[in-house]
Amino acid sequence: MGGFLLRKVGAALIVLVLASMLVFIGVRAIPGDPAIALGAENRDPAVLAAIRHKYGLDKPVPVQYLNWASLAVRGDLGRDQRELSVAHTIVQRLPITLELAGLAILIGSLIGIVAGVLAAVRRGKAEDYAATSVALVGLSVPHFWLGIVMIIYFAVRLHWLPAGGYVPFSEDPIQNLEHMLMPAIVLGTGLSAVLMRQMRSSMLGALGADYVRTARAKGLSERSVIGKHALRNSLITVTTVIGLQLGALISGAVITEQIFVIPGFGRLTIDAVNQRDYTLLQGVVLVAAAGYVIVNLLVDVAYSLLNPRIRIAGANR
Amino acid sequence: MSYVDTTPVAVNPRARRRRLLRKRFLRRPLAVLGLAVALLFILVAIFAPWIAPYSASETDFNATLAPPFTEGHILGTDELGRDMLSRLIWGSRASIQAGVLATALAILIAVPIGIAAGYYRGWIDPVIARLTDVLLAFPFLILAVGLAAILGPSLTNATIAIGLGAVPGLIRVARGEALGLREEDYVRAAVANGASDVAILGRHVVPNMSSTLIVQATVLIPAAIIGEAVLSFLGLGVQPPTPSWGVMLSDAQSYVSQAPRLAIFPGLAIFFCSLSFNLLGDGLRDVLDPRTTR
Amino acid sequence: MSLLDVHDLSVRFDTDDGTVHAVDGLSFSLEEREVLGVVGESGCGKSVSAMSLLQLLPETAHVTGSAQFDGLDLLAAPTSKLRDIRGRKIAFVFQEPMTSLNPSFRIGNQLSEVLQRHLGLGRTAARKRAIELLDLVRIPAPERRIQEYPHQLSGGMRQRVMIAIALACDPKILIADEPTTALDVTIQAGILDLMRDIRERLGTAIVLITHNLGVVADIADRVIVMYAGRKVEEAPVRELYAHPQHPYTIGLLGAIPRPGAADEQGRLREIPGRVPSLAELPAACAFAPRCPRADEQTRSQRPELAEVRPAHLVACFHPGRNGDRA
Repeated sequence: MGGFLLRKVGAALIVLVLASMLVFIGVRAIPGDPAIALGAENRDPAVLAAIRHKYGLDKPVPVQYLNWASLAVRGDLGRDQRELSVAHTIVQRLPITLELAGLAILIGSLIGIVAGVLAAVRRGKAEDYAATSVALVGLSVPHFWLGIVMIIYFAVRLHWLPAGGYVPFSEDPIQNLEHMLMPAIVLGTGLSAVLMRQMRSSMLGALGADYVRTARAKGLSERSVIGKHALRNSLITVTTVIGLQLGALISGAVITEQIFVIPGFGRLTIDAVNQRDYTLLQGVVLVAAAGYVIVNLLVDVAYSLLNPRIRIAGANR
Repeated sequence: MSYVDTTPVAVNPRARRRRLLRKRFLRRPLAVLGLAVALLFILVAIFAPWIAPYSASETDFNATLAPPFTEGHILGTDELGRDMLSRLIWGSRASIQAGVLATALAILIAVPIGIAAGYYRGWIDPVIARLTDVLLAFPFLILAVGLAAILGPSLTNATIAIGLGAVPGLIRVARGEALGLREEDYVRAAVANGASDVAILGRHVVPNMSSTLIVQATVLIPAAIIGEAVLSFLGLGVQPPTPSWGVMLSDAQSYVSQAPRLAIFPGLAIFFCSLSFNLLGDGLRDVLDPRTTR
Repeated sequence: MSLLDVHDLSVRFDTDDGTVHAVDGLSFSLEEREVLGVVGESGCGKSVSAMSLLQLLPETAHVTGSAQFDGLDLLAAPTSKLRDIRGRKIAFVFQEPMTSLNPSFRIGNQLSEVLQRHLGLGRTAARKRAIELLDLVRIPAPERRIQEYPHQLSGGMRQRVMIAIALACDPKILIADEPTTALDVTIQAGILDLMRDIRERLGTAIVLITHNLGVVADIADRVIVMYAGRKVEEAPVRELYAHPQHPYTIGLLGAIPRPGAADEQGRLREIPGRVPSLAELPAACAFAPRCPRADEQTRSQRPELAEVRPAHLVACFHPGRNGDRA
């Protein structure tokens, strides 16, 4: 188990390093001269030259990368256009997005898993069709549109929930949740649809498996057969799916935060792109990629923990 | 007396399979509906210039924000007096183009690479596998946004960005399929009989991957459509005055209280377009799965 | 009174290609402590009949007939009543030991389940009994095995575990569906030994389903031969082997590989033709297309079971080896 873990971590690190290089090069490929943006649009060549020198933009790219990378490893992601520490901004905004994502995962998983089990157990009956249809709708609906529609009805028309903005949890937990509810639902919709389908598929597979037949032949109650035997094996697959969906969740957060005007990590990306703030963009995308790699690593580990066949070597078969 | 086969070779196995698949497909009303609506959208996109009552940018400042069923504007007008229905019809072009072309681009790039990695293995496989892992560390949309930023905002660039964004995931799928098919007995038999690589790939590998690829395509198209809408929404895709459902949604945000329908209609369009492809994809997946009985 | 009395059991499946008659009018009885062998090739309906007794078939199956056990008709009983019988009074051992155990739970857990459900044993008592059971089926180091997962055991051991689970509540009947088919020949012998042992020590009646005539000869008391969903012959085991009556049984016995039993060309003797499709049941003898004795009568009428020798039933118009009739 130790060796397995070490290999996974090693692979993740390599991916991370390569990803950071990709980010660096990618950002440099964006058209437009960063010096102009940094210099507040001042086009005097002497000023531009000075700016380039100040930011090390006149050095060869690999050198720039190494400078940046060596600082990044120590947690210093440089300063953005407004001379604010990128790392600091990220650290401020990340928890907000994490809260949003966390709520979305909670809502999405609950609905998705329950609906999936229900659909599998009542296959071919009304509950199955209902759940499958709703899942299909959830998959097809562009969630940023869903967000706008929810704002129209629940905020503008009915005034039940605020149309956007953010209140920190520490300040006022209730208001915080009020502001987070719609965005979390919007974000969780896609996840619940995918989970529902995956859960249904896994459960159907499990319910048709030999070991479920054995469980029935033992005289166990249906609750035990479904809830213990079939469910356990299905949950393993579903957990990995949740992990894989996190990428989509991050992308979704970007737009959701835009619509609901939440000062989170996702919005930073858009702001950085629009303002041509390269240092900020670099830092943001790097952190996003790092987060994704870490989560995938955790999912891998969780899967091997849950699946005894991977955890413990089998007999020679 | 020699044995002569007098029964005519009645059926070509491939034609028979196609007939069987068609029968199975027709037994699924939802899939048929999906196909019909998807085709409808495609046709609307192609024939937009002939169908739309107005051009996409014809403004009428005397009739801004007109409600539906106003004279001459069945779905009303937007904030600049442009006819909603026409904008929706013209907007379908951007979405369908992005959806279909981006998917086609992704498949054309990813499948050969995936097959090269999965079938040939050797030194090329680990390299491709690592590269795709790195690319997959970036969520699809972030990758697309990044690429769009690099390429510059335009519909073509957005299409390319979305297509390229889908490539890593598709490579992984294609590689997995090729890896599996490589071990199939009929492939090994062909190799043992000295068949050329091209022949093996063409006759055995690619056709057997096709069902997975078709299903992937039907999943990618709606994702690409929504991707284009997102990019346009963020200002990184279609540029005004070209209409796109995403741009319409973005513009509609400021009028959410006055005229919510400005946001609802384009969103519904995206929804139904995406839904139809999803229904089609689901149906195809069922039909092509050897385990389903009907 | 027999332990189990099955009367006119028929199982029908509705499929896309029409109705498949998997079992057609099967009747038999099982006595206490008896080992009944059910023999036939794949698809003859033996597994389906057995599973129908505990209502383990999928919803697409339509079962008619009756199966009297302990004052209850198993085929008509509500599922709740049946659950009390499954695993407790009648236990099932399935064919595929590799997939019949849940891969995510430990062996001990899967054993204790049955004990807790039917006998109400607590955790410690169940664990103790589980170890005893593993010992009973001759698995070495049972205390260690309790903690292991199915994939850590070999096929033979998994099958023993399945048998242990089946015996946990001391059932009256053990139905073993091809218990040795998925195992190596050397392991087979061990499992059969075990079953013989079980019958001796515990007095459990066993229904042994198999296509392997060698296995049947080894431990069965009485044998039923099935073909295309119907029972075609039934006799005590020695009687069947010494005086097979139905041409199918004769063919089967002749097809057993034996040193010195080959014909002039050194080939195994086989029964020509194939099992008929169960969708079109002929109103005639089902074996007629492959039978060397087929004639007008067998092709147009269905033979009924008749006692042609003491305790020996056969459904055939031309039974018996030449000069063998009683």
